[in-house]
Amino acid sequence: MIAKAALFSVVSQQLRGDALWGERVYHDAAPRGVAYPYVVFFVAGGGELNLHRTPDAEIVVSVKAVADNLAVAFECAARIQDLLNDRGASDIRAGLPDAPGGWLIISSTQGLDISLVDYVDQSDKRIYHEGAQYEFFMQKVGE
Amino acid sequence: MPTTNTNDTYLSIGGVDFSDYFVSVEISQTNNAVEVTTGHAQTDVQRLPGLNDRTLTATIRSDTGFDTTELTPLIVGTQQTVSYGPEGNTSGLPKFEGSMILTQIDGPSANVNKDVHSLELTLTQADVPTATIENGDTFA
Repeated sequence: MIAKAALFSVVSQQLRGDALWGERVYHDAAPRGVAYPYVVFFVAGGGELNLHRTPDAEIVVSVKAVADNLAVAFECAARIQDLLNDRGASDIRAGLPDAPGGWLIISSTQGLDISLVDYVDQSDKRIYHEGAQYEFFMQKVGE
Repeated sequence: MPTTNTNDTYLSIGGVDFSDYFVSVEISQTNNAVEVTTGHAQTDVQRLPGLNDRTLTATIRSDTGFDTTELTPLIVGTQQTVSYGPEGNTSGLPKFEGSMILTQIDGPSANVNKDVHSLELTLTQADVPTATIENGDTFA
């Protein structure tokens, strides 16, 4: 299993079921008409790290909440931070689900903020995207 | 002939195989040439080769799986047999082997930026090597 697949599984599992967005967690894009707020995550960069000769990876994932209310968007971003930042196996708040495929997520670190405002179709209705990039350091330790 | 570029490096210290933990390895050789200038009105220095010396530096990653087996040779001031193959230890590949003293260990160091923890080792020649790459020695 490639690192990205293992990571997607963990991020999805960690985020699902939160009181704010429930099961509305999607990778890459949300389906049309899904209720607000929802969470979307997608790869922003990285890959095989080649720091060791055993498989390892450093992958940056953008994770953002999309809401039609700025206060809700901010609240969702704070929840995402609590669920993902410093949650790797070696971090101070270790608590991510076990990764499949023999992968271990050693650390997860919040990076740049994501913040933008968009309009729904061609109306005046605003939607707010709030979140951050998270850098995941991973190593394959098993099969 | 193709050049070499591999991470299939072999490194053993004190009989413990650290190949899976290596980040970088380098061996350097030196010779302190001795001045032998004689006579008067000389205009240039004259020298003869001195004694050969070797230093091996290695960076290995600190691993949560290290047990007493891996840690035993990593004690500064101890003399170890070091075996190093830059291309691996398959039969016929270049080999260095010799007795060396572990004279310095730096790390593991930690910082808030979460840089990978590693150990930087410095080993200094303790005796004439039993195998050297420049002599054409290889793994059996």
